[in-house]
Amino acid sequence: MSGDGMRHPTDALAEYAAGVLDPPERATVETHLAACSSCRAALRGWTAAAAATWTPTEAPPSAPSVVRAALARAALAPQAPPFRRRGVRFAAELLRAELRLVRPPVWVASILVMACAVVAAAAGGHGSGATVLSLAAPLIAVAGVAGVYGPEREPAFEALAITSTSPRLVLLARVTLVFAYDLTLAVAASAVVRLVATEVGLVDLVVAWLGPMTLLLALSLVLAMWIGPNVSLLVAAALWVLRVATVGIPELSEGWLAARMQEIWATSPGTVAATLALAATALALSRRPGRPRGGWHRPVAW
Amino acid sequence: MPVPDRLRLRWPSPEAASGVEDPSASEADLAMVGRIAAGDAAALTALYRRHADRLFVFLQRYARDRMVAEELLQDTLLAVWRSAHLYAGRSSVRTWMFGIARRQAHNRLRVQEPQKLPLDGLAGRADQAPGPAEWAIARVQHAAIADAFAALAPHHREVLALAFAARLPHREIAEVLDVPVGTVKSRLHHARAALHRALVDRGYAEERP
Repeated sequence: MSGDGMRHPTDALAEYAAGVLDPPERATVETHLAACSSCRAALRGWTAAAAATWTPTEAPPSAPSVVRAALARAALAPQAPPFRRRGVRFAAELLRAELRLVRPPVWVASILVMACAVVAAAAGGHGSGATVLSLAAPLIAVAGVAGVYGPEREPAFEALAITSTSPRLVLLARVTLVFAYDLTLAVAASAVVRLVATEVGLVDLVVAWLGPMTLLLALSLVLAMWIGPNVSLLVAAALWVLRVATVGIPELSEGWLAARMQEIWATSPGTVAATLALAATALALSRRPGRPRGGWHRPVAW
Repeated sequence: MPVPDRLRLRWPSPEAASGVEDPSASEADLAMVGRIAAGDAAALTALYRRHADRLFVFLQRYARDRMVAEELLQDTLLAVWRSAHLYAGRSSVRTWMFGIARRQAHNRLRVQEPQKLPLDGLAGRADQAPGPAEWAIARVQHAAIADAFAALAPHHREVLALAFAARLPHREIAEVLDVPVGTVKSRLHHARAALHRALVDRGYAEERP
C-alpha cells in the first residue's frame, strides 16, 4: 500500500465490485479510487472474480411451475423426521404415525362387537359368559387385522407406496396397536361379565378367549403378510364360523371337527406354542424386503 | 501461451443494482412468511418471485448444473413451505432462504462431490503471491471461465457465488454460512486466489511476474 497516510478501503472493494454497498459507502470508495492506483488495481482483481462468477445464467423456472411441483411433493411425501431405521425410537415413531392412520371404523366396530358380547353374555345366564367372549374376542382381533391393511382400505396408500418402510413392517405396527386395543377391550368386557355373572372367575374368563384370540390373530397376520389381507380374512372367518357351528349346532358338537375346534379354541400349551411360532414367522416376514405377494398391489373386488 | 478468442463479459456496474435490502421489502417478506406458515400457497409464489433470481443464480453457480439447480430450487421451496412456522426472525427472510438453499445443496452435493481437487491446496500458495493487483483477466471465454470455476472446491464456489452471483453483502453471507464476517472476507480472498490460479492454469489469465 502507498504510505501516504490515506485509509485504504481494502475491505470494501469486494462488496463494491459486487455492487452491494449502500450509496454513502460507495461514494466514499469512489472518491478514494479516483486518487489511489493501488486500490484501483486491487479492484480490478475483484471485478475479474465477480465477472468470472457471474457468467450469464438462464432465468429461473416460472413461479407457478416450481410452486406447484414443491406443493405436490409436500402433499405426497409425508414429512419424514430424521430417525434411525431401527431401534426403539423408530418403533415409537412408527406406532405413533400408524395410530393416526388406523381408521375410526376399526376402533368403533371392535368396541361395538365387544359391547354386544357383554350383553349376550349377561343375558345368556349361567356359563355362557366364557363361550360368548371366546367367540367375540378372536372375531374383533382378526377383523382388526383385515381392517387396518390392504390398498383398498388404505387412506395413505399413495404415500405409503413410496416410503422406505416395508409394508409388512407397517402392518406389524398397526397390528400391534389393534391388538393392544382389543386386548384392553376384551379384559374390560371380561371384568363386566364377571360383575354380572359372579359364578365364573375373572381368570377363567380371560383364559377362555386369550388363547384363541392370539392364535387367530397370529394366523391371520402371517396370512396377510404372506398372501394378502383378503385371504387372511377368509381363512380366519372360516375357522370362526366352524367354531360357532360346533358350539351352536347340536348335530356338529360331537366328532372329529368339534374335537379339532375344541383344541384350537383353548388356552393350552399347544395353542401357545402355535401362536409363538406364527408370531415369529410374522416377525421374520416383516424383516424381508419387498412386498407381500398377491393381494397387496391389486385391489381385490369382492 | 496461445490466447483464444475473447469475449467481453457484461457485468452490471456497481451503480446498476444494489444488493442492499430495502427495509420495506424485508417487512413484506416477513408478512409473506407468516402467510406461508398459515398454509397460503399464493404467498409462497410471491416470495419465490421476489427471490428466485438470486437463489437460482447462486444454486447454478454452486451446483454447476442447471437441472440440479432447478431441483434444488424446488427442494428449497418445499423446505420453506414446511418450515415457515419455524422461522424465528433471527435473520432476514432472504438470508434464511439462502441458508435453506445452501443446506439443500450441501445435502445433495455431498453425495456427488468428488474428492477435493488439488487446486484447493494451491489456493494458499497463490495467496502468498503478489496481491490481486497483479493479475488481470480482461476478456475470457465463458466456457473457459465456467470450467475454471467448476474446478474450485465447494466452499470456494459457495462464497464466490454468494458474493458475486447472488450478490449478498458480506454481513448476510456471514449469516448464511454461520461464520464471522472476517471469515467470509478471508474465505473470499482465498477463493479469488484459487479462481485466478485455475484461470492461469488454463491459460486464460496472466500471472504477472
